[in-house]
Amino acid sequence: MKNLIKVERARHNMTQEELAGKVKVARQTIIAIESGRFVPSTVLAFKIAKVLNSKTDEIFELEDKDWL
Amino acid sequence: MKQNSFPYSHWTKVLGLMIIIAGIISFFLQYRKKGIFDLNELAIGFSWGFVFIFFSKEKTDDEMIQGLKFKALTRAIIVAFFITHFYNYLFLNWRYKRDHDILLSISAYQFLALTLIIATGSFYYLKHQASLNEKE
Repeated sequence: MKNLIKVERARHNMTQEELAGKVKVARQTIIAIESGRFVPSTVLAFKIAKVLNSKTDEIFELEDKDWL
Repeated sequence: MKQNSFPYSHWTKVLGLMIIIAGIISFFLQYRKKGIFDLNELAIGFSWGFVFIFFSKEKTDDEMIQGLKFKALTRAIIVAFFITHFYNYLFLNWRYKRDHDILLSISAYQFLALTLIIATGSFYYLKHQASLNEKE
């Protein structure tokens, strides 16, 4: 699953640490999500979208390989 | 939706470490007293210690940590089972005769210690891998 967290974070001038604090996860978790190594749960995805003032499907997007 | 999957506080890692050290000291004291290497003595310390280390919370205990711990424990059980089976076969039951021998195996403490050592190592490796090359 692709995501635009890094872009949205930059748009809101927010660091990984700040985002992690707002959604109550470790900074390493944000790093792993941004790099595509970890797919967040629905709850966490909604939290991230809410903090970044976006809709969930604007930030997270399915890739072809997710359908395999 | 706050989930607390791991029962022990973060500080119990120190307790776990102390139990392991006590187990190692006890192992060598027993060796000096009896002159034999009692691996069960060592395994008891390691298994209790690693129970506290592995099943305690991280500083920030979130869903990724829980997922990685589950993955590490799943892998560890499979790997430890294979190691146990091959060790038993090669070193304890090599000349096993089905008609009159009984199957020998390592102790439950040794199996648990092996599983938890692999699980803990695997967990920290996976955690390191998850946050690699992405320094801000």
